[in-house]
Amino acid sequence: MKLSVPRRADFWSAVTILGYVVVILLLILPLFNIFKSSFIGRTTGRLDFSNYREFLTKPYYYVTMLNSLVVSVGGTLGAVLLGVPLAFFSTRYLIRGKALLSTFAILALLSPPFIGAYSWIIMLGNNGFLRNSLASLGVFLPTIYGPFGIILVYTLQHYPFVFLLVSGALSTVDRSLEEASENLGSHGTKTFFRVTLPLVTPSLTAGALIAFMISLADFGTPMILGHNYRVLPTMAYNLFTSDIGDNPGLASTVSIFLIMVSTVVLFLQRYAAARRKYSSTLVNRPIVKRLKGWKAVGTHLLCYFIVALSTLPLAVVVVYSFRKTKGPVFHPGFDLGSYRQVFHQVPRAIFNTLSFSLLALLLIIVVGTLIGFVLARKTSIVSRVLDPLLMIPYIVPGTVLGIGFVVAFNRKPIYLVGTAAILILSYFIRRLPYSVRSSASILKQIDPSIEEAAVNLGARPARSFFKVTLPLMTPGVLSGGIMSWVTAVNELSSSIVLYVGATATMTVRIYLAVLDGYFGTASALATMLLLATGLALYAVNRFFGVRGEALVG
Amino acid sequence: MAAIRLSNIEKNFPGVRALDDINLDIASGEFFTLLGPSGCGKTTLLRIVAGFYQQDRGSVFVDGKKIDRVPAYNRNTGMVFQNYAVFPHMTVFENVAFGLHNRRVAQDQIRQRVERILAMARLSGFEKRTPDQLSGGQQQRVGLARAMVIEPQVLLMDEPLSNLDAKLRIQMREEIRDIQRQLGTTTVYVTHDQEEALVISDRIAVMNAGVVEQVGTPWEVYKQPHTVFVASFVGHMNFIEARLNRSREGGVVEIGEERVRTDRPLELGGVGEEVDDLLVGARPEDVEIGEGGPTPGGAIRMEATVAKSIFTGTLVQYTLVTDSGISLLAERHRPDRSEIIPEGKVVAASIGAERIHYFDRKNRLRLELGGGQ
Repeated sequence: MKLSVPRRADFWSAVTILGYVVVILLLILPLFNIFKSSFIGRTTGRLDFSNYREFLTKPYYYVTMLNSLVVSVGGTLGAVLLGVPLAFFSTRYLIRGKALLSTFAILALLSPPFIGAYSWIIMLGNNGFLRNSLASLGVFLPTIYGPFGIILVYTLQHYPFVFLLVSGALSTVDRSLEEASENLGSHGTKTFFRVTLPLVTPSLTAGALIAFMISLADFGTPMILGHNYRVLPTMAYNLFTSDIGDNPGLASTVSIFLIMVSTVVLFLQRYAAARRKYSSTLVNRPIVKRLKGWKAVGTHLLCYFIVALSTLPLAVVVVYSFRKTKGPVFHPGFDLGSYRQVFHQVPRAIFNTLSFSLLALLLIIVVGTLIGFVLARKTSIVSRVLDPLLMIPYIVPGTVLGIGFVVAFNRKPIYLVGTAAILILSYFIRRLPYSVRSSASILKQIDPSIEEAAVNLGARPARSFFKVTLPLMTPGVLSGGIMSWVTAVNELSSSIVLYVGATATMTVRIYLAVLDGYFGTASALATMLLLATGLALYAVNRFFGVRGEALVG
Repeated sequence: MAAIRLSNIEKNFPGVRALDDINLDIASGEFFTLLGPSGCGKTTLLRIVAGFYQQDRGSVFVDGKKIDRVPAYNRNTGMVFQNYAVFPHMTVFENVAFGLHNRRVAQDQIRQRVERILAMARLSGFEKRTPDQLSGGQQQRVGLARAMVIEPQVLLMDEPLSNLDAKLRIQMREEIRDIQRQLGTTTVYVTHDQEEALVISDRIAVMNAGVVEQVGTPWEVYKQPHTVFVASFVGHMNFIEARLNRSREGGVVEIGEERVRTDRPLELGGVGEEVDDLLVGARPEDVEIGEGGPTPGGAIRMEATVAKSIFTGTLVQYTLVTDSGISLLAERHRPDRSEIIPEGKVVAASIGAERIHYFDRKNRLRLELGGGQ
């Protein structure tokens, strides 16, 4: 079914073409270059399978694949174990301060994971204050370096995905279904496992998938906490950028394996979700029960404990940003020395982060809205092919895309390496699919008959778009845009591959400061990012009335 | 005000013929209803007139002018949508003024015309409200006012009342009818509600599976349904399978093993040779329930047991079942308490000769009773 507006179709055809240009230039070309390069042997310089042979036969390489799976699966399981109970308790029982809990959970989620990583070093590192005080009580913890620490960070970073998606689903399970189950003789626990949990499984797997994909693609945490525990993204990065013995071919091969793993997992989740898809009409909202006595205390303690644990690293960062430092060493007392340090040494990084992220945001909003409109309203074979192509960024980790950009844009006709543009374009393309999806889904909620009414009343298609459709889309598009801005500001994994001295962003500076042991500077920068993230979150909530839950996924 | 002519309209969607050779003539100022079940093509036809769909064959004429190539925004039709489609980000005034702005009407003119139409739609004082502050009925009035204010050549209404509750629906349909009469705008109205169609329309086109089965006034459609479909879709009709027994004098209708007592054989004239199998039809209100006595000429009469009786307030509805399993619905209006027949009682059900409808069982078309007495 299509609207018969033949003459004005030109504009939307142009948008479709623009969509293809973007996808081909910024996704297909870089990925094709990686693909090609993965088959170029280092010694031979010819097309062969030597890189793949090396990756699959040398334990030094193939063990990274297993390591990646271990920490990603571990982190995902941890996220589910924390997220599901928290979701259940906070949607079914009266928990005081629930809004605050989810705000802190979202803040933990949106902060860059490597901040958490090095915060845990401060607490549980070899000389961490928490480790020392626990040791004095006779409690000895395993080392934070290696898989344990990485899984801990992933768990606390990513459980909010599961928590938010599952609580969203739980609060829309019709009460009558659970009542029917009880009426048929299943008591509480049985009802939960036989009725409630299966009904929210699609959301649960969706949350777990996001947790897994982000863990798999994460670069900062294993780089800071990994030491000798290498995973696929750090391996790809090291092989690609190492001054001695860099091996772009093998780095590409590692990237290909990374993409393969995420693709397989994505399709597994899609398959599982498609098999369990329930449509139901929500008639009776679930009741929020008020617990009494030790049960009430217990659920409150559990919920607070989970959120507090994930907020702890952020609090540590903020506190440490105000501590007195002398070079890399902390001294007793507090001052603003670290902030002074930041403004003296790396003011450029702050400017870069702001300008790059805002320019990327502009591109994301304009291009995302237009392509979203084409996908939602101008359905044709041409636009239908564009849709799955736009999925590519979901499965391509930032590090891999960064490598692809360097390989693709380091020679004529497109020479972008070392420029600000390459960073902006990488933020843009990585976030574009989210923007396209969200504006398409906003459009699907706007009844087409509203636009038809405008046309019927004599408005030409362009006028009906700008007078009716666009104003209705604006709140959703802007709030989605602010979220894109937050991710761009906190982005590390592609920036680290693409930056040069003059284009280093705040996250890059944090990472470098942590490596050099300048925790004070890192904390100050990280606190500024947290503040920006918090403000953005507040703005979205305040001005668009969008609840945090809606921002995920 | 304009006359509409639809000629040979055909529209296909993947795998379905949505409209098959539709020919309709709608007079200027007429309230014309497209009535049919969901999926019959009525909305598709309306959207073709509005210009939202392009037909695969045929043409739409407004006042004799072909408008097939006129884009939707230039057609000067006013459409009222099922889900109101009121612009949620505009006030009532802005909603109604939208079409006038598109037509570059002067500001003071706009104000005047909007106020006038809002008064007519009983929305005066609501100018500054936004749609979320309005009830469903008020939103639909905004939709109506917005479509009327542009003084369209044709008013198109796509099930405008189906999202409203029953009481409001009845009230609104009368308001719509009144406003339409006042302004005299040619109106094409789509509904699946047969009662609504009967009440509101000058003429009705009953549609089924992409074709028009009958066009006529409400009276004609109800009293002389051309097809079995029309008979059963507009109101209820009892159907009894019957055979035509031919003799030299004419045809005699036989209903199974049932003893149909008639004074004279039923005679059907003008019936083609090929018709043997009939459907005998009767409206529930035409089925008389009596105790016995003589049967008037040409009537059908059979013994039946009262299987069920339902009291609806204004009438009692009986389900009657004969020994051979024929089931009949009968209605008695304004019953006295003493008249109510208990379930299980055997009664005589009869249908007067002039109240019987005959249909060809094979092609489902109406057969006219003719021939001598």
